[in-house]
Amino acid sequence: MSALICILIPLFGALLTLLDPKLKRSIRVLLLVAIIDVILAMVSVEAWRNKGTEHLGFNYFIIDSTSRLFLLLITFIFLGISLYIYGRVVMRPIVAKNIHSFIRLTLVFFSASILAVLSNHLILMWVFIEATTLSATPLIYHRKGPPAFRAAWKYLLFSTLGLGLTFLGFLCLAKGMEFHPGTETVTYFISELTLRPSLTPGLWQHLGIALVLFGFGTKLGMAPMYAWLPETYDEAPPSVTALLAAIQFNCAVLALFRIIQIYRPFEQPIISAVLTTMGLASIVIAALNIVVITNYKRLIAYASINHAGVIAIGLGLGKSASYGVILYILSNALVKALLFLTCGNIKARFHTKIIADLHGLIKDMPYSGWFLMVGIFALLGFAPFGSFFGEIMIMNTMIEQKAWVLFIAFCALITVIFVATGRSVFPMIWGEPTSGGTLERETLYAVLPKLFFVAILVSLGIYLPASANTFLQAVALTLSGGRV
Amino acid sequence: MTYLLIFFMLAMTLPLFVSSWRIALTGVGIQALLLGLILLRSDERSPSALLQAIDLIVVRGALIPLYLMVIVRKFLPKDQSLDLIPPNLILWTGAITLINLGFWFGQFVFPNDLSNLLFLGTASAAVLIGLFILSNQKIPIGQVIGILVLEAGIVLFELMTNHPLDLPAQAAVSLIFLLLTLVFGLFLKRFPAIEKQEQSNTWVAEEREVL
Repeated sequence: MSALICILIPLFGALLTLLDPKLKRSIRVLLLVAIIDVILAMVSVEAWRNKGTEHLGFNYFIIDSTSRLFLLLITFIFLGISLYIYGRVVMRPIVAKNIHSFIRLTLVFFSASILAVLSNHLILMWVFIEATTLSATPLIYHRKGPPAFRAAWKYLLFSTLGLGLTFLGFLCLAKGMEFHPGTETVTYFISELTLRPSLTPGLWQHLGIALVLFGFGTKLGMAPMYAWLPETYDEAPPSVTALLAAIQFNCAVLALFRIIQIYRPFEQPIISAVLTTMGLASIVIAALNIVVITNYKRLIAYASINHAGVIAIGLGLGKSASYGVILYILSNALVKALLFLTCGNIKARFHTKIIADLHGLIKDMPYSGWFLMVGIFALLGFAPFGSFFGEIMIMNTMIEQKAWVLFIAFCALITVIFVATGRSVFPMIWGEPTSGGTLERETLYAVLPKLFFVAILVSLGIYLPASANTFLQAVALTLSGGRV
Repeated sequence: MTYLLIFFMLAMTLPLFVSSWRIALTGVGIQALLLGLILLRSDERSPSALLQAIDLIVVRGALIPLYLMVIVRKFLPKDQSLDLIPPNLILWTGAITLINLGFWFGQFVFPNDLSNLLFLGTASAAVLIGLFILSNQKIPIGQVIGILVLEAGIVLFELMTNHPLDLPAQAAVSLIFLLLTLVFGLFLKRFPAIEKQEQSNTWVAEEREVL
């Protein structure tokens, strides 16, 4: 029940900001909503041990281990982003111009994200992801110029196209259900689909799976439909980039999870072929661009494409990589939120996104410098972060499955990305400071969420409490084709 | 049913060869109206089907094309040409090939069922033509028309599958489509101002301080 209240709180917050447009109250509402939702999400995860899977709202919502994990993840990240926005408004009151509509849309976006995470109905999940797109689009060009406007338009077009193809895929899957003797009734309820004894492969099902994976791949910014992502992540305000990269991204990943939970037992070859191909192509695109990139925000955007590729390959490989994929997804969400918010602080101080213009950040902005360094290490998959262990588990599965070509290509590309990113970013962190050593005051609101993200990132790699480990294993089990 | 599908094909194909944004938007509206008629001619009489019929005939068939026309009229003169695909023989051949490809797919799936063959062939052709328009368009209103043609193909496919969504899902899908079109409209309204800003460069200073 607490999970369902999570949906209502942001909507109520949005309504409050509409009724009472005082600046201070609006920004406090945002923060309060984020805090309450984190508490409710924690209560929901805690209840998992006693209650297991729950079905609410006429079976339209499902509260299982997977939805609880993603709910907790997105609420924590949203709290971090809210603190960042609060800090920015406190530090630079000029950014508060037109903030009411910004906060309202952010809360609607958050509510739609929670609805997508909790949805037990494939079509409604699709609708809620589309709703996150529609609420995020105006946020991308909030108080920004024509490039941001054009990026928002591109984002809207690509998202609509990708989600349109996904919808077509769902219709194909529905058509495919006609041909299963004894299970002809068409349903879009995830819990019912996972209980079906047989979803025998056929033309419609193959086509449906391919279209759904391709469509959600577009939403994740994977090749070949990746062109919107670098531009959008670069042009959007940093808080919005973090919303897209760490919250909306995970809603789309969860949708992929659900499809894989339902169809993996019957359609592993096609799932594997589509996801591995798209994943590898995405890593190639990311590697080629990271080598020549001159803009640090775009560099992290291309690293996001690389991450989407790694997740797709992990999901494509199948059961034994499931736990590694989950570790990687959690780390990836935290790293992206950490890095994009840090980029926001750096951009606010130096008004540049060009890598060559910045050096000695660790002296100019000690907190941001350290966060950037730690974030880049985690981004590159260094130990002891969760991304390292996630990547190792995925690579281990490649070896187990004797996918040597994939393994060699993956290692080679990851090495290229590793070297190119380090070569670009490390001179930004060390060296002579850009401002001649004038320290920038960084508020507690800016530092606290990032510290927390770093703590979880390290914890995912070094020490996971037994209860958290059991919880993650339960999610991995459902991803391997276990019942929801 | 067959003649409705033939009219649908005509409403989709003719605007490709006529350089007019008004005809293109009218074509999109007629496609939606025909989809509504196809739905009404089927045996489906559930509340969900009724809602979808209203959505197709009233919202997609009339309100959305009118709404877009009102917006576009403000910055594009009536006689301004708009080519959905560049007018040359190669791309026209490409469009006809895609329509053939759609029907080839219909024949491949339903070799002995003419009704379903036509349904699937027309739906596939609409999806492919929508993608073709999108890949050839740089003008925002042209891109929106590409999306609307693609969506019409998807709805036709949905009607062919004959598995109506349950009422909450249908209501949500109709609502989200309406919101999507409103957002498209908001963007189309702002594009002329954005182009002016691009020429004058007045936005640079404000862009420095963002959230």
